[in-house]
Amino acid sequence: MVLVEHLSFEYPGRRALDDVSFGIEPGNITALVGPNGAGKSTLLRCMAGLERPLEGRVLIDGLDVGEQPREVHRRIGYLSDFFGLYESMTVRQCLFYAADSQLVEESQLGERVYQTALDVGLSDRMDARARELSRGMRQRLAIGQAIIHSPKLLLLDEPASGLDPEARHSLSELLKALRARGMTLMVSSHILAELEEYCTDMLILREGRVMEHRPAVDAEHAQTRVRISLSRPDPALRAQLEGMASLRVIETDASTALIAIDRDPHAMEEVLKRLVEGRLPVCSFAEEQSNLQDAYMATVRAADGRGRA
Amino acid sequence: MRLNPEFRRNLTLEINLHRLVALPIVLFLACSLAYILAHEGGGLNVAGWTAFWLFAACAIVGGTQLACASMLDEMREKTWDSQRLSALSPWTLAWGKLFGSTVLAWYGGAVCLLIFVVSRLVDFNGSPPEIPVIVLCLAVPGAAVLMHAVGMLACLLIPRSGQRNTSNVIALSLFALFAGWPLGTGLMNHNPVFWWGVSWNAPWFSVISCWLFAAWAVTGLYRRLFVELQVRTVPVVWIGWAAFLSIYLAGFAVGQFGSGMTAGAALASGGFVVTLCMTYVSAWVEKRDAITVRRLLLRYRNGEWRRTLEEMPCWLATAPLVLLFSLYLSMRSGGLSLPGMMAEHMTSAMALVAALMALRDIALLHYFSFSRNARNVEMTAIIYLLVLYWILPAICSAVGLEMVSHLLLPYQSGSLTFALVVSITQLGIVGWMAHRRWREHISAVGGA
Repeated sequence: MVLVEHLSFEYPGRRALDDVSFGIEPGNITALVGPNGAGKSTLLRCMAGLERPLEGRVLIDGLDVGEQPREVHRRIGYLSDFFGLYESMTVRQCLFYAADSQLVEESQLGERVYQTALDVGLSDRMDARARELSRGMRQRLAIGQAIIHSPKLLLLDEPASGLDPEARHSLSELLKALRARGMTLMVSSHILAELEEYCTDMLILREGRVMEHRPAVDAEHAQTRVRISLSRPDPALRAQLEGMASLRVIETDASTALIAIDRDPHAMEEVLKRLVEGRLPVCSFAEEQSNLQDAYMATVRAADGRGRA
Repeated sequence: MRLNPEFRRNLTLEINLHRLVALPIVLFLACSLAYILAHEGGGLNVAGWTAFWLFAACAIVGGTQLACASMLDEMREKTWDSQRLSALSPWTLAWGKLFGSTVLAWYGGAVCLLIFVVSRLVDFNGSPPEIPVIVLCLAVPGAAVLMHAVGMLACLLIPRSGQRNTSNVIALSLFALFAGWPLGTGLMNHNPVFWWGVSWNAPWFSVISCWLFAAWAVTGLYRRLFVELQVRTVPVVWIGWAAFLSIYLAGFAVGQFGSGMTAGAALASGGFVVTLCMTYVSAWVEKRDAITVRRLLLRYRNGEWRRTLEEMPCWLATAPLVLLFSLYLSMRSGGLSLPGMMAEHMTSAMALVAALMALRDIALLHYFSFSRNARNVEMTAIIYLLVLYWILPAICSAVGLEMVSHLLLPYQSGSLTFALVVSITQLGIVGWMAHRRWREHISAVGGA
């Protein structure tokens, strides 16, 4: 769906993207993560054809963004982190214009406006002006404008910033629903916990370079991670765990341990059983979500380690 | 047939029932007031002319303000990116914006025009106007389209770093209005216009010129939208505009000086002045940071010729023409004097010197633009150019250092060889400075 090849972009005095290359399969939701200034927004703007890169090219659905920007725009939706709305227009008018300017069939305009308003939960605010909407509703209207022409690829730059928890939850539900319809999404965000709810891939950018592009849950993560806590320290914990072939010890001390184990209830039952039989004072045995935050931090730490070496 | 979405959006915003009803009533009342206040017998005539001036005010002044405001609002409210991401073509966007944002002004103008025309038809006893009504009715819309397009174009050309705020609307509207001023004065001219040796009726000549310039302004807006929408294009229209303007201005030279000026000489002079001005102005207006230059050089080095032309700034497209015209003029014997103030100091033999000095200024502008902390580049360059062109030469002349003054303003020396050597040296030094700063910039970001 997306193929980015050797993309470089510079701002005066600073290289924002440096030989960035990656590909995205159709139907994926890719989390674009990285620290401030990593080049996330620039990458999304280059992919949307809003910025002209110094070198390299972006292919979307087989079309070169640089060569055929208007054709590409019919296939993508883009929400900027600092988006704007026509403040004096109503929700209905904003959506109608978005559909009209994306050359949606005239006969389908009304239906598409209504359906999109339903999708983003604004069907009861159709006649409200954009300036009268709350932050969350404005965000939903902006997303509605970006998806009204049913793009194949949706690029979202910090879509959840400034949203309350309820609005964030409805946003993640919406993104999952869009993916279920076959849309490919790329979402940049600082809030990794929320990306975890719906992302299938993670692309880590740092200083304009791709540090890692991997599935959010990889083969290694077919296993789950379990945190074991003891009610009092027991030095035998490490030895007990290391003696079990069905698990891998990630970290441990005398009171707690983090292990990786197959996602099989029977395997987990067996481990717990052996710990109890070994007279270890187990007070907690809980599955711990392997999250993007961990994966991201592991990648960053590994890169930092390589840098120091 | 599908209505232009951008035009339709503007209709939604600008037109409502209240405006549709209230605007004609207000305009009609204003004309009625003029009718009542007029002296006996001339009421219809005064009301008609009041309607005409209201027509001009609505269509030209009001429309230009609306056109500029619509573009600046897009930038300020951050909706411009969503327009750039739409599937609308540059042409659809150009005419949708041009006539959509000004639809209210056109509506008010049409009402006034109707009152004006009716008053002229009914007022059998009124003295016939010095300028035919049909000329006036054609001139105002032409001037309005010209100024709306120039205003919008100016809004798009404001450097990205510039402030796109409300005060700019006024400044840009005024700029656009002044752009149409010379054509407006042509309407009032009773003497025939000599153009390419042929006598033309001045008002009709102005009207046709006005519409031609309006067409070029709309074309300019359309082509600028290509750039904004990231649609690649080569600067053929820019060259075409230079050719049109050269031929247009050369026509006056042939007409004015008749016997002494051949068509070739007029075209060379016109071409030189036009390409020099266009090159100079576009260098100030266009994006010219280190990245833009680097991107262009990368395309060139990779042998991507079409991309090189697409990335080429407009000033670079006309700069070779400036040199060609100036070389031609400089080599001609029995040279032609350039018009206006320049004629005091410069004959056509000095055209090459003028071209080299203009390129030096452009190199200086780039030198400041390549700074890592480039701020107020244009203002900095203006200050340095004032020092180089005015303050230092004046000081040198005042204390009797004429030679130093000639080093700064070589065309004053009277010697073509000396002037050429000095201007080439100046261009070389400033060009080298700009190149060095560009290299420093590129090395700082880790480029090749």
